[in-house]
Amino acid sequence: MPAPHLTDEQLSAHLDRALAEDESASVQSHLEDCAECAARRDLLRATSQAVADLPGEDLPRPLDLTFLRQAREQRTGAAASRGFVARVIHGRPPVWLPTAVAAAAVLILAVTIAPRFLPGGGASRGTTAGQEALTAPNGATAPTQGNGSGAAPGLDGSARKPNSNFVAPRDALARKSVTAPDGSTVSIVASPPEAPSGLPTLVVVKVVAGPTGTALAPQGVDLFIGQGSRQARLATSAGGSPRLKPGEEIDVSGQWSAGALDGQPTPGTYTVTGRVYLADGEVVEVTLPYVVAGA
Amino acid sequence: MQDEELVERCRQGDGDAFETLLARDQSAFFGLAVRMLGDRDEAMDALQDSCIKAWRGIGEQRGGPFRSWMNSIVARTCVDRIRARRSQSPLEDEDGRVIPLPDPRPGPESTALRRDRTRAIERGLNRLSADHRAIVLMRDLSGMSYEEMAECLEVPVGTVRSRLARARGNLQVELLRLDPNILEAYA
Repeated sequence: MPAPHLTDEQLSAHLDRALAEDESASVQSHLEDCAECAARRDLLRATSQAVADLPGEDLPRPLDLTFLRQAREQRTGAAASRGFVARVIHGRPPVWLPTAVAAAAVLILAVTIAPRFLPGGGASRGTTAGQEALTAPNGATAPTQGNGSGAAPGLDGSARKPNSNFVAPRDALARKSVTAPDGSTVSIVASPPEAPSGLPTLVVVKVVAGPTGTALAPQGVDLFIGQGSRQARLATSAGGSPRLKPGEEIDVSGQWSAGALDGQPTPGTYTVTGRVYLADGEVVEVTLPYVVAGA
Repeated sequence: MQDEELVERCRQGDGDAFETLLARDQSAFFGLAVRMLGDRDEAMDALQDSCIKAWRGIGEQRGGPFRSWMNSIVARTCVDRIRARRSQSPLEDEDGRVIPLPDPRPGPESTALRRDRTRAIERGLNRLSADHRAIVLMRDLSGMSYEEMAECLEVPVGTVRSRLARARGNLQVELLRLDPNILEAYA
């Protein structure tokens, strides 16, 4: 009685040299005597080779390798922080159309003005003055205006309960700062530094006034989340023209359902952007890539 | 400069070395991603994610070609995205028509015949389920081992072996259906 023909699985694994030694010898022996199985093996090998021979594909655009800038800065001795990109834009940036944010993204906004925030690199609980839950109806959330403590003009002083969700462990932050032309410092902070999709993630933009104080334009401070051409405004302090005393701070924060933009949270690399409109027309922007892993 | 030296430089924070490594094979990485995902924009995002993961994880690279290591990162990233879609269907539109992958651009050495063959192979791949397409590409285009695929797909090695055999068999059927002579060129 002739030996039964080899299975597809045996042939496939044999091609990959993934069979145990004894089984491999048995398969090889069969192939030497069975023209039918040898022909099947050859056809399978050609199929595998056809895939292996597929050519590469030209990229539609260059990779964004700005995250390597940090490494270059470190190598040249400049100050740098982990994984961030920061830049200062002079003049008005292109208008970003605020897009709908998914219902899955439950947003909470807080705008705070306080003498100190994030002391020594960590977030501070006690100075948060405002919060506003923004559960989007029908999947859409309109751009949101922030409210503050009243410590600076232009922001109303409505009292709101503190939001303990905004407290992040000191060692679980990703942050970057950039110095604006007027000497003020704009920082963006995200906690945790990266997150599985759907995890509530705190994002904060903070402005520390320069040595002569800092005046903001009516647009104030914006906080965006984006991926590719899709952008969503998470929070804004627009509506006033606060003037900060030297060293005084203002921050705008939002809680983001990591990976949610215009649908269910999805893993990927997003960009968190803080934008500060100064009264003299300068716009300061800090951006950072934010990795959202699978849930 | 050899991969090993460039990788060592990366470990010391040399971003230029990382760019050099990427530039050598980025079209291969993108080709893998675009064929696994079937969408150039999503493939670009996946490759972008993969670059960040690779840079952060360069310390875990244990010798061997950078291309193989990076390929496995790209494949894992694509698998995560496929999982996120929660779909095992072929890349078909609502009317059941297979959504074509972009036409490959001919390189200097390409001929019309080679281009046609490439299109046909891609059409065949597109007719596979996402699971089957992924495992064939992971093995035959990316060169991942059974163990690496098992870890990536979170299945036993035995499942990899059987799934890969079925996937290759299905691809063969689809290719021969498209062109009964197509595999002669690869024999």
